[in-house]
Parts: sequence; structure tokens; C-alpha cells
Amino acid sequence: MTLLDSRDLALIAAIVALGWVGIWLLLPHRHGGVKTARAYRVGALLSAIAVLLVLPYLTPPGDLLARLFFYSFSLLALLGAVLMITARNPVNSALWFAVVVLSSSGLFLLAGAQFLAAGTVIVYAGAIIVTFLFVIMLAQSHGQAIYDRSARRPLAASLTGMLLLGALISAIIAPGATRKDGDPAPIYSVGAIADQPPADGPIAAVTAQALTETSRLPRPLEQGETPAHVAGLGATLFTDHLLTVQVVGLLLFVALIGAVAIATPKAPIRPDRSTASSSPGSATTNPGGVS
Amino acid sequence: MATWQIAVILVKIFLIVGLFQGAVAYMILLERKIAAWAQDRIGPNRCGPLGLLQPLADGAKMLLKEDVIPGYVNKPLYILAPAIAIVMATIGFAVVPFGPAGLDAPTVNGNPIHFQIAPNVDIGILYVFAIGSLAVYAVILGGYASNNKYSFLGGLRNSAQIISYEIPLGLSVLGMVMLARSLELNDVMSWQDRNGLGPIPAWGVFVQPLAFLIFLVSAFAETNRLPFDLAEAEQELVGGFHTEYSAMKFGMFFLGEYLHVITVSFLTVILFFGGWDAPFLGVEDTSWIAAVLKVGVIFFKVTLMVIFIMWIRWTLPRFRYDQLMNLAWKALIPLALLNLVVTMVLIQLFRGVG
Amino acid sequence: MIPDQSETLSRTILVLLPEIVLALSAAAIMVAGPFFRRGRSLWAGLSAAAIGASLLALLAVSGSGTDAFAYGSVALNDALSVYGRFAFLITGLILLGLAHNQVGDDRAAEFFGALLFVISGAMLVCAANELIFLFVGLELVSIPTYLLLYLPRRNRTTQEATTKYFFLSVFSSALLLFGFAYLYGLTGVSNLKALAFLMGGGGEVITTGTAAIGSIAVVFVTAGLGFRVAAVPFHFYAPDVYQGAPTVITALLAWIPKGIGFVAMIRVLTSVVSVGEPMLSERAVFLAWLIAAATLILGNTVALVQTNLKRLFAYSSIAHAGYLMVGVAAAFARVEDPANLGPYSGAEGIVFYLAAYALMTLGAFGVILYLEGSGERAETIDDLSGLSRTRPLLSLAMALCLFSLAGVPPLAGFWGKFFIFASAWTAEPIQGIPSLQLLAVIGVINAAIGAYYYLRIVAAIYYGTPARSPAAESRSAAGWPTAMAVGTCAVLSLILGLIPGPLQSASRRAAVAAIGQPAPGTSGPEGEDETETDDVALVRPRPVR
Repeated sequence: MTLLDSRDLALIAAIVALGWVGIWLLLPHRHGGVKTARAYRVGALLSAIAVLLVLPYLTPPGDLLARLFFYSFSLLALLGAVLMITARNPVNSALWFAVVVLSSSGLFLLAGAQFLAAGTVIVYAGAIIVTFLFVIMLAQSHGQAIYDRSARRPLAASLTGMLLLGALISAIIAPGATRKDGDPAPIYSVGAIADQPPADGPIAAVTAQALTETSRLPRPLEQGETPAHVAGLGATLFTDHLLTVQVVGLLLFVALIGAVAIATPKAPIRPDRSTASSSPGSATTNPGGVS
Repeated sequence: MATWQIAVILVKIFLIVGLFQGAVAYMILLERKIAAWAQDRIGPNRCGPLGLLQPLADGAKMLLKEDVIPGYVNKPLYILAPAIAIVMATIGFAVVPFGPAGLDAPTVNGNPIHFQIAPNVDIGILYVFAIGSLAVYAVILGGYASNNKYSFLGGLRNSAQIISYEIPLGLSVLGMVMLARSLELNDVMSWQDRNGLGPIPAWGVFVQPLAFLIFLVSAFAETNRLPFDLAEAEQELVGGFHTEYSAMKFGMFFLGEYLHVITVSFLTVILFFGGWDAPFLGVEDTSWIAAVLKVGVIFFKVTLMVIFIMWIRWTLPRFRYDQLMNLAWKALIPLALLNLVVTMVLIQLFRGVG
Repeated sequence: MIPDQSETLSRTILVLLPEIVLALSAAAIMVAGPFFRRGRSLWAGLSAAAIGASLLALLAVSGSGTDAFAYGSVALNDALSVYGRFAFLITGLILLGLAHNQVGDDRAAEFFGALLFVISGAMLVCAANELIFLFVGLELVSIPTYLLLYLPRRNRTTQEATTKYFFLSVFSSALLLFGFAYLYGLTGVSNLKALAFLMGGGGEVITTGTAAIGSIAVVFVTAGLGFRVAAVPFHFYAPDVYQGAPTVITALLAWIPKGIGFVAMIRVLTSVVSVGEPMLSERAVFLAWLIAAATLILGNTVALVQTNLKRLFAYSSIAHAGYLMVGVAAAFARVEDPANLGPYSGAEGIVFYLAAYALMTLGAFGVILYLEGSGERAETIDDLSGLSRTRPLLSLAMALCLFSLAGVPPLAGFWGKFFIFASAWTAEPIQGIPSLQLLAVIGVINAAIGAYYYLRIVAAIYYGTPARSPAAESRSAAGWPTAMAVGTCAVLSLILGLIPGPLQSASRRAAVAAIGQPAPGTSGPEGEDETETDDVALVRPRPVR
């Protein structure tokens, strides 16, 4: 088993402990009670220190501009994630989730995955979270329920999450896991083998067969050349993963039929009537909730 | 990236944002004039010759009015909503070409100057849709944060409407994308220029007529313009999601809506009317004169499109909510799918495999 | 020469013909449902016909090997794939028999369509040779299962069970995907055979620490699949969901997620890890050791105090996940030469045990279903008391299934336990972790504990006093398909127990195929010939001891 040196261990232990206490202080009360502002401030401070302690392990990518964007997107994503689980109003939680999604797609963009970034924004931020908001707003027409405002087992939950984070950090920084400078990641070194003529050796033959032309990473391009992200993605989806795409189609089909079968309106309900019938309830009480 | 490149990009951003936000002021005047014409009135004619200074007066009114924030609103979200509206409407322009860009861009010392803020973005139109799908947050949050039943209903209606109409909107564009084999708007324009049957250009409206209709209808719904303005429906919901907004916050919603109209007009022109394509202009003309002409052509077409959108507003009555949903799910989406499949089959037949 | 991409694809489609037949029939049934208002027997009959057609298709394609394409195709047709798909089709037929009258006429088309989708998803998992394809196959089991849980009955307990299962299943999928991402990051290939090859023979290719990143992958994939197989600490949903679900769906939940979970473990984890870096394999063995021991002890001891039959079977199914995890621990152990497995291999034991487990657990649930169908109460052990006086044949079937579950010698369950414990006992000891022999001992002790509560039910059936007098009871039949399904399970448990040879050699072939690495870069007719001979050379049928 690989062992970490004592400095790393101490640092990871500090991250876990600070993060645990910090998130616990930030999370809503177990029974939906009110916490003091000081608890939130201390929690935010401890969490921020925990985040700062992770910094020594980061190797930021690229030049100054890329670095700047990387850090801002990452911090925004982290902030959004923490606020999402600690928000006491579900609508705010959904909005912070949207922030997390948007910052993650910013990170995708930095990593060169343009289509993934756009797809994430369209599907998650543009459709799924909007549907969440829709449902939350409709469900909140009689004010917030107690389970909306309270956290379930905050102490144990934040400890579990932080322990997992600590374990992941220690696994990633363990000796042998960190790359030496100039050492390509396996995804590149294997790709490089696949690019060579598959004349020699079984390894070359296997990689060439597993990484077909369409499923390789796009080459780093010369200045001015247009990278064919979407076309390349389409090519690999409809050659290497054609059957997978078809099965996903079946999956969506079942989900669609299932949703219809489970919902089963007794008589066809028209959308206008359903809106009209739900509106008095939502209108009489405060739909905005209290924040 | 060289400093001058960043400078060029900044100049383009300021130019586009300033130009379009100024254009919005005059679009409001135009809208009022067209409304007056449709209703057999005269319209605004007091400020300046032919009422041409009216936009300035309107703008001053918006800025100087008292900004009322009601006591019962969810304040952070209430303030955030108009900001989202205007930001999302503005950043959508990043990939929209307003002249020659990409292959036919004119050059300075061998460096191409693209008439587009972010050239060579591979996902092109997907970016516009992604930003467009975020614009719904403005309406939803405005409706929710106002804590008012009219606003809330407006927000709910709008979220369902936008989610529903995004699907036919995206599907209808795919036909043109498949023909041009690119998601980039430049490539779609140059494809329309390069192909064609004799004097008839291969504009999207000719090669994809059904897709054009679907796109137009869905785009109207996405911009919340009449006949799809159920979110604000003055007669039923007072003002819908912006009932509680006043002064410049209301103005920002307004600005966002008109910026959306411009975006949609640009997309329609680029995808279905050849963009800068005109009988005397081609993708091989890379001179500066041709570039200026191309910019002129595209802006002319966009202006016509904007006038068309405003004209429609005074022609058609508003949909009922169930009609709205039926139109999207039972008519537009199946038709868009049909169009997609037929296009796919035809491309495969005429182009052969690969 | 590398096989052509389109050739690989068309070959894979051919190999997946049984799944295609099944899925298309399921889709057709679901679409036709709203238009033809017919009774459920039509849809059940059509589903049976679809399974039959799929079975024929499987027999037709079972001969065509895919070794030449193994490193490029998303699905394989090796021995494990054929074995698993055959098992899922047969048990699918049994499940269909049990389910034929369990749903109202109005929802029958959707119900049977979803059942067919579950079966085809399970078959896809057996054939899968690629990370994403495997995941999609797993989801094709999960999503129709939510539907099946909810459709037959709509009341609060079903709703609770469905909601619990839905959320935990979605959560487990997220864990699984997280693990898959790391597994992909190890080499940058998503093809499982190629992944195993690069982890083993291509060691010099991978420059970064496989043990560290690989253990993240192993932990998360095990966690994700652990939910499906209900292994400790991911077992807690099982009792509630089993109790709340309609009985036939409880039977399905007890078998299909567990089956695909372990097949997926063989495909993704043991076949990849056991040929890879020794340190990774050691860690994986330790992980499986811990899970297996905890699952065994918890499942068996808590099952002792249960009186509700469904809860008892839930804990018994957790315990069986423990036995199977013993096999996983043995299968994780490092294999030096993939072409030459030891006399007993963990994967072989798992595969054999799964078939036996399917028969005995479906049989036991079938008996409960039969009793429910004839209007008798069958909720607690006391309800079964004295059953042998009124229904001797049914009691015999129940007794056979329970004996098999307990692992009493001449039945299939015994051989399953025997092969698994033997593989653990004969595994090489590993420095620094408790030995697998100790795990085998824990397993045997737990089997003895388990026998107690199974035999308690048998004792109640044969020696208990009936709650009601047999004469007063109106005896209605529950339908011949249920009876046939129960009979098949009981008889097959007995036959496979008496003659385990064919099944054992099939599981041996499956285990060898799962870990085997066909010679790369062969294609065309001469390539196929080569792999055919390879196949013969790899598989050495062994006499049964």
C-alpha cells in the first residue's frame, strides 16, 4: 500500500476536519430551527480555509487567462455547490444548482469540450432545472414544509462527504499517482500507440482496434485550423457507439411510456384547466415564500 | 493571443452592444408607428421631427422614474431577474455573424477581421440556443420573486412555453445544419451562397420551407411576442411576470425582449434567407467593399424581418394556453421530426454514403 | 489486420439479435397497448412468444464467435454471454409465468412490455464489452423496473417501495458512473477486453499509478453494483422494498438486479483487476473480503428473527449476495496466466451459483404467489403452517427450493456454495490481508446459520398445524402458468443438484471466456479459424468431482 508522508496526511486531515465543521455549521438546522448569523459566518470561514488548503495540490492549466478562468469557474462551482446544499429555500437551492451547472460547463469549455458545455447548459440549466423550479413553485403554494427547511442528519452527512473527499484526495496524490512533468497521461500515451501503424506487437494491435480512428482524441491543431468537435463526436457516436445510442433510444422510449402509464389521468386533462385549478391555491397564499 | 486581437474583440463587443441597444430604442418607436398604422392612428409625433426623438424621451423617462421595490418581494431574486434578462439577451450575439466571417473575412496585413465577436466557435448555433434557454430564468424568477399571483402565473406559463418550444426550434434548424454540414452560422451562409439552381439561390426558405415555418412559429414563442405573449397577457394578467416592476427594471425586461427580437431576426435571416447572400455577392469576394456591402445586405434583411415580426403582432390574436401546448407537442414537434427524417433520407440519396 | 469498423458493427448487430428481437417486440407491445383493448392474456402470450423467438435467435447465433472483434466491439458472444443470456431468457419465461395474472387488464401491455425490456437489458449486460454499453444495459433494467414496481398495484406501500427503490437506484447509478470515469481514465479505452489487456500485458503503456486511480474505480464501481446486488452496506433498502412491492416484482428484484450486478462485476471488475497490477488486485480482494463477511453475517443473523416471509427472503437474498461476494473476492485475486485458471475459479462459482439461486429463489416466491393467487394468506411463516396437508405437491416444491437455498447436498444450491467456497479455499494467500480461507470458513458457518431459518419454514409446512380446517377452505386454482413455473424451478433445482456436470462445465467455459484474452489483430476467415481453435484450446472441460 502506498503511504502518504506526514505533511500530506496532516493537510488532508485538516481539510476533512475544517470542511466537516464548516459545512455542518452552514447546513440548515436538523429540525428546521434558526441558526445564528455567527454560526454561518464561522462555517463559511472554516469552509473557505478548507478550500484554500486544497490549493497546494492543484496544478492549474495553461496560460494566465486560462488559469484565471479555471480558478473562477472552479470556485464558483464550489460556492454554488455549498450554497445549494445549505440553502433553506428550495428555489434558491435550484438556482445555486444552476450556478454549479453553468460553472461546470465553463470548465468543460476550458477543457475543449464545446459540445458537452453547450449540451449541459441546454439540457440541465435550460430544461431540467427550469422544470425543478416549476415543480417547486407549484408544490410550495401553501408555504414551505418543515422538510424543506431542515437538513437530515447534517453532522453525519457532512462527515461522510468530507471523508470521501479526503479519501479521494489521498488516492489521487498518492505516490505513483502524480504525473511527473512531461509524462503524458495514459489517455494520450495509449492514443499515441494507436496512431502508430499497427505492425508491431500485440499492444499496438489491441489499441488500434480499441481506439478506432473515430474514437481518438482530436489532434492538437495548428493555429487557424477549425477543430471538428461536433462532427467528430457525431462520427464516434454513430460508428463506435451506434448500438449504445440505439439502446439509449429504447431507454427513453420506456421512460416516456412509463411516465404516461404512471401518470394515468382518468380523463384527459387539458393543460388550461389544470393551470386554472391549481392557480387559486397558489394565488391565495404567498407563492414567493419567505426568504 | 496578441494584444491587438483582444483589442479588436473588445471593439467589436462595444460596437455590437452599443449598436443593438441603440437600435432597440428606435425599434420601440417603429413598433409604435406600426401599431398606429395598423390601428389607423398617427402614433408618436411630438418629440422632434416625425417623433424621431421619442426614444430619447422614453429612455429618460425610464431612468428618471421612481424605482419602486415592493416590500413583499424576494429582493435578491427580484433584482436579479431583469439583470438576467438583459445579460442573456446580449451575450447571445457572441456567435452571430453580422457580416462576412470565417473563410470570406476581409484581411488587414494578412490577418482576417471577422465580422463576428467569437469566430470559429464550432458549436455555433448551439451556443445561441444554450443562451436562449437560460433567458427563461428572467421570466420565472421575475414571476416568482414578485410574490404576486399575476406575476406567478405569468412565470409558470412562460416556463412551460419556453421548454416546449425549444424542441421544435432546435429540430427545425437541424435540417439546414445537415445540409451545410456545420453548426457554424458562417458555414450555413456560405453554403447557401455556393449552392443554388441557376438564378435561384439555395436559401433555407426554398430548400427547407417546412423548417422555416416551424422555426418562425417557435421563434415567435421563444421571444414571447404576440400571438404567444401569454406570460404577460395584459388583459388577463395585468402585466404578467413584470407586473411589479417599474422604472429601469421594467425597462431592462423590455430591452431584453427587443434584443431577443433582433437575435431571432438575425438567426432567421442567416439560416433561411442567405444572410449576406445577394445575387452580386459571393463567398469568394473578400475585399473590403464586398464586406461593407455584405454587412449592408444582412442588416437590410434583418430590418425587414423585424418589421415583419412587428406587423404580425397586430395581425393575429393571442393563443389560448391549451392551444399553445397542442400546437407545440401535437403539430410542430411531429412536423419537425418528419422534416428532419425526410431531409436526412434525401441527403443520403443524393449525396451517397459519406 | 485490424477488423473493419463496419464489419465489427454488423457482426455485433448479428450477435445481439436475441436482444433486438426482444426489445422490438417489447416496444411493439407497448405501442399496441393503447390501441387494442384486449385482456392481459393476449399480452402475456405475445410476451411468451417474444421470449421464445429470442431464445431461438440466441440458439442460432450462439455458434458465431466474436473473438476476432473482441477489442473493438461493444458486445461479445463468448461463453459467459451465451450462458447469461440463456439464463435470463429462461428465468424471464418463469417470471412471465408467475406474472401472467398479476396486473390489471388496463395496464397489461405496458407491464409485459416493461418485463421484456428488463429481460433484454439483463441480456445486454451479459453481452456487454464496453463501459457505456454496459451502463446503458444496466439502466435498461432499472427504468422498466420502476414501472413494474408501480403498475400492478397503486397504494401507499407500493408508492413507498417504488420511491425508495427509484432514488437509491439513481444514486447507485451515479456512483457507478463515477467509478467508470476513473476506469476509463486509467487507459483511455472504454472497451473492456482492451482495458484488461492494457492493464495486464500493456503495463508499460500506463505510466501513472494504476493502483491509486484504479482503487477509486474499484471502490465506486463496487459501491454502485453493490446497491443492485444488495450487499452490505448498501442493503438497507431491500427489506422495505421487497415487503412493499407486489410479490412477483419482489421475485424479479431478488433475482434480476442481483444477476446482472454480479455479471457486471465479472465483466468490469474481476476480469480487469485480476490480470492487472498486483497491488490493485490485493486491495480489491480486501474490499470484497470485507463486504462479503459483513453481508454474510448481517444477512443471516437478521434473517433469523424475521417472521414476515418477504422480509425473511429479503434478508436471505442479502445473505446470498454475501456468498456471491466471497466468489468475487476469490475472483479478484491475481491471475498470472489468463489462459490457465486454477482448478476452481471465483467467477466460475459465481456463475454457477447465480443459476442455482435464480431457480430456488424464483421457486420460493412462486409458491407464495400461487398461494396468494388461490386466495390464501401467505405473509408470515405461520400462514404456511401445515401446508403439506392441504397442498402436498406445492409443499414439496417449496421444500425443494428452501433446501436448495439452505445448501443441502443433492440440490443445486449446494453445488453453488461448494464451488464458491472451494475457489476461496484454494486461492493463493495474500500478504497483509486476512486470508480467503478464513472467509470460506465464515461462509460455511453462515450457511449453517442460514439453514436454520430455511428449515424453520420447512418444519412449519410439514409439522405445523393448519390455521384453518382444510375442508372449509374453498380451493381455487391460481392458473397453470404459475404452477408450471414453480414446478420448473423445483425440478430444475433437483436435476441440477443431481447432475451438476453440464452446468458446471458451462460455467467453467464462461469463467474462462470472461477473463480470456483472444489473440489481437485477427480478422477474416483465417482469423476466425484461428480463434475457433483458440477457443477449443482454452476450454478444458473437467470431470465433476
